[in-house]
Amino acid sequence: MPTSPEPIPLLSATGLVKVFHAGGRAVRAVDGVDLSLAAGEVLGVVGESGSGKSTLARLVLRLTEPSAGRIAFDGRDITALDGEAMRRLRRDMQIVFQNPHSALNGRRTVGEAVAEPLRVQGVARGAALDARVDRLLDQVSLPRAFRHRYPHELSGGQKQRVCIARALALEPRFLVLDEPTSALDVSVQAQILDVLGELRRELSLTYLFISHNLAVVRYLCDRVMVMREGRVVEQGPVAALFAAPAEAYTRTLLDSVPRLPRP
Amino acid sequence: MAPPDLAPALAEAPPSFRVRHASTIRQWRLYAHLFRRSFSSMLGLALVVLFLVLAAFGPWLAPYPGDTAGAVKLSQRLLPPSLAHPFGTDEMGADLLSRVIVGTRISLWIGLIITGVGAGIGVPLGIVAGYTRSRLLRGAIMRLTDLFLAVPGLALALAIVAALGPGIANCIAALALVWWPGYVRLVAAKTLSVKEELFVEASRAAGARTPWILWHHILPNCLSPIIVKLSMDMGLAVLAAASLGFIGLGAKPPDPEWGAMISVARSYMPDWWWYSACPGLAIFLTVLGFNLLGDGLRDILDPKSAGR
Amino acid sequence: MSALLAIEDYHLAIPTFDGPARVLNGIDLALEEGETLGIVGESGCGKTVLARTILGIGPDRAERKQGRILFEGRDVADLSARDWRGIRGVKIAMIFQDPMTYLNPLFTIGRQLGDAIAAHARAEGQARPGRAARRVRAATLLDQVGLREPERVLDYYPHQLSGGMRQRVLIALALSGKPRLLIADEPTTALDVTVQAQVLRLLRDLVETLGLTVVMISHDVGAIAALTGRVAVMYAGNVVEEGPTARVLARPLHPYTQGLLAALPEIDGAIRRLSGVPGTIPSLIDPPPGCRFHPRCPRATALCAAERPAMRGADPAHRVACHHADLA
Repeated sequence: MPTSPEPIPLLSATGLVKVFHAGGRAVRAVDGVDLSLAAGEVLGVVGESGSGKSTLARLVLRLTEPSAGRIAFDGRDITALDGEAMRRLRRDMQIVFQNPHSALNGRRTVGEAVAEPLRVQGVARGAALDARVDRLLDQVSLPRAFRHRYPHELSGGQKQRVCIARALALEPRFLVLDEPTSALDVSVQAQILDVLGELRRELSLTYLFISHNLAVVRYLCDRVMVMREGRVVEQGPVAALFAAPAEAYTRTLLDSVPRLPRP
Repeated sequence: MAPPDLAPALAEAPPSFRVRHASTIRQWRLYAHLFRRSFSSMLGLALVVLFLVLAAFGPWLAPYPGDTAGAVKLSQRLLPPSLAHPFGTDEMGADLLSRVIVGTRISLWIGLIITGVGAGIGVPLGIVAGYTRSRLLRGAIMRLTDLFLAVPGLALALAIVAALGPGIANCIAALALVWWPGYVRLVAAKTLSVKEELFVEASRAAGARTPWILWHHILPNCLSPIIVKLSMDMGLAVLAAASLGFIGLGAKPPDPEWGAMISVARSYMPDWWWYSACPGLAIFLTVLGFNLLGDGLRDILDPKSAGR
Repeated sequence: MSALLAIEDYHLAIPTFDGPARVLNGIDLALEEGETLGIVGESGCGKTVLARTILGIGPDRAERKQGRILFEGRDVADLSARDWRGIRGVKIAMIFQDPMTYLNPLFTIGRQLGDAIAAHARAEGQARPGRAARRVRAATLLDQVGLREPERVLDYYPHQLSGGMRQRVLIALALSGKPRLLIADEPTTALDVTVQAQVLRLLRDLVETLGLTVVMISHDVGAIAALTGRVAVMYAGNVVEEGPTARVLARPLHPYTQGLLAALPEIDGAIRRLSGVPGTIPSLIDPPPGCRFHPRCPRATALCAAERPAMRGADPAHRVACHHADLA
C-alpha cells in the first residue's frame, strides 16, 4: 500500500454488527465489518446471498439500526444522531435499490416520485420544484414528459433512471447503490452503468456499490470488498484483487463467472 | 425516429390536460372496459345508481308524495297492486310505492353514515396498528378490535340502542360504533405489507416523516380494499338498520323506513302480501346492488385480475 | 431425418386492452435429437412464451396466427389433454427459474420423486413400482444430480434445502421419466454465482452422459455459452441470428447480437467502455415496420424500415436476419 497520509474518509464504519432475531435464533447478518470510503471513491461490496451486503448498505445509511459499531460521515459520528439531525443528514446520503419495480409507488407519478425528497426536505416548491424535477430527468436522460407517467408504463431501465433521479434530487455527496442493475437486462445495465459513471464524474459523487456481479464491480469500482456470511473475506484495489486473489473463496467466486468465447 | 429513452428534452409549452393526464385517462378507460365486461358488475352498478337517483329525487318522483307523511285515506286501505298503485296501499291507505321511494333516502343515509363513521374510526386505527413499531400500541388496538368482533355486531348495537333509547339517531350511532373493527383488521393487514415495500424505505431514506409516509404511500395503497369493503358494507348497513327498525328500535312508523314498514306489515301477512313484499324487495335489491358493485370493483382494482 | 422439434413460421398474438401484442413473429427453429439449443434474448423478446408454447402451457387467450410447432412430427396444437399427459413431464421435461414454485412444500422430496416415477411407469404402461423400488430409483436420481447423502435428502421437505439443492431436485424430477427433450427456462438465474457454476457443470455432465436434447432459455449469455452447442438470438418476437454458439458469440453478425455482447462487462481482459444498445425495446402492440430492430440499429437504412429481412448466411449453419450483415 502507498504510504501517503490518509485523508479523512467521507464515510467510515468500525466494528459494525447487525443481529436479526428470527424464530428464536439470532442471526449475525453483519458481523464486525470495518470500512472506509474516501471522497470520490467507488467501493464495491461483493458477496452471495446471505453475505450481509444488503444489510451493510442499510446500516451505513442508518435505515437499519446497527446492533454494535460506529459510523462516521464526513468526520462526524452519526451512530447516535437523533431523528431530526439524521433527517437533515439524509440530504447528503441517498440510496438506489435493486428492484426499481417495487422502489416506486405505483400510485404516484414519476414527477411526484422525483419531487418527493425535495418536498419532504422543504428544499423547493412551486415553479422552482418543477424546474428541479425537469433538470433531474434531463440528468438521467429521460424525456421531461415522463413526469406525468405512472411507473407501470415505464420499462425497468426507465424506472431505475427515475430512482436515480430521485436519489440525486437532494444533491447528495454519497450514494449507496444496492445492486442497481441486477434486475435489468444487460443492454439496459450498460446504459445505467454509463449514467452512473457519468454522474460520478460530473458531480464528484462517492459510491458504495453493492453487487453479486463481479464483472460489473470490476467495471465500475476502484476498490472491492468481498463478503461472506457477514464478514469481510478480503479487500483491495479491484485490479490487484481480481488478478491475484489471496483467499480461496474469492478465487472460487472469480472462477464461477462463465467466460465467453473470444474472436 | 428517436427512441423514447433518448428523445431530446424539448423546451415545450405546458402540456394540455389530456397530455398530462393521459395515463390516468387510460387507466380509467381500462377500468371501464373491465367493468363493462361483467354482467353482474353492471347490474350492481345499475341498481346502485337507481337507488341513488331515488334517494336524491324521491319526493319529486313519488306519485303520492303526501302519503309518505302519514296521510290517512281509509277508503283506499290495503288495495292490491294496480295501475294507480303499482305496489298497492297500506292499512292507512297510503301508496306503498311512494313510501318505498321516499324511504330510500333514509336507508341510504343510514348506510352512508354507518359505513362512513365505521371507516372513519377503523381506517386510522388500522393504519396506526399496522405501521407502529410499538408492540404495545398495536397489541392494544388489535385486542380491542378482537373484543368488538367477538360480540355479534347487531347484538351489541341492540344493547346500545336499548341503553340510549329507541330512535333513528340512536340506531345510527349504535351501528356506527360497532362497524369499525372490520376496517381495522383489513387496513392493519394491508399496512403491514405495504410498509415493507421498497418505496416506503426509499421515502424514509429521503428523510420523510411518518405522517408524510402514511398519507402519500400507505393510505393510497390501502384504498382499493377499503373502497371494495365500503361498497359491500353499504348493503349490510342498510340491512342492519332495517333490522333495528323491524324490531322497533330504529325508525318509528309512520316514518317510511323499510324495516319499520315490514315490521308493521308483518301482521298483515299473508293475505296482504304486497305490503311486506315491496319494502322487502327494496332492501333485497339495495343489498344485492351494493354487493355486486363491490365484487365488480374488487375484480377491476385487483392488479392480478385477468384481461389487462 | 425429421427433427425432434420443429417450429415453422410460428406467429402468436396475445390480446390486450390496447390491441393484440404480436409476441412471436414468425419463428423458425429446428432441433435434432442430441442437440443443445440456447435461446437468448432480453425480457420481452418472447423466449419464455416460446418455451411455454412448445409445452402447451402458453399464456391464456394467446392466439396462434400462423405456423405450427411439431414435436416428433405431430402438431402440438392438435394434442388433447390426454396426449399431453404422456408428453409433458414424460417425453418433454422442464426445469424452471424458481424451483420452489414446482415443488410441493407439504410433501417430502422422496414422496414427490416417487410419485413422478410411478406416473412415468403408468405412462409407459408398466406396473406401478413398489415403495422400496421407487425409493431406490429416487435415491439413484438424486445421486445422479450430485446430491450428497441422497437417502437423507429423500426425507427432507423442500424448505429444508438450499436454492441450489432444490434446483438439483428439480433436475432429478425432470430426469425421472427419461425425457427425449429437456426444456430449461432460466435454470440458473435465481442462483448465486458459485451455485450457478455447479448447476451448469451438472447439466453439462448430464448432456454428455445421457445424450440429452436440451432447449435452454436464458438472458444470461454466459450460461448459454457454458451449456449449448447452438444458439438462437431473439429480439422482439423474432429470431435475429442463429448458429453454433461459439461462432455466434465470437463473431456475431447481427447488430443486436453485437450490441448485446458489447454491453456485457467482462471478468478479465482489458476494461473497455460498455457501448450496449441505445434505446428501449419496442412495443409489441405497435411494433416498428420492417426489421423490428431498425429504430435502435446503427446500420439502419430506408430498406430496414420497409422490408423485413429474411434469414440468410454464407454458411447455412450460421444465419442472420439483417439486410446489412457483413457475410464475407
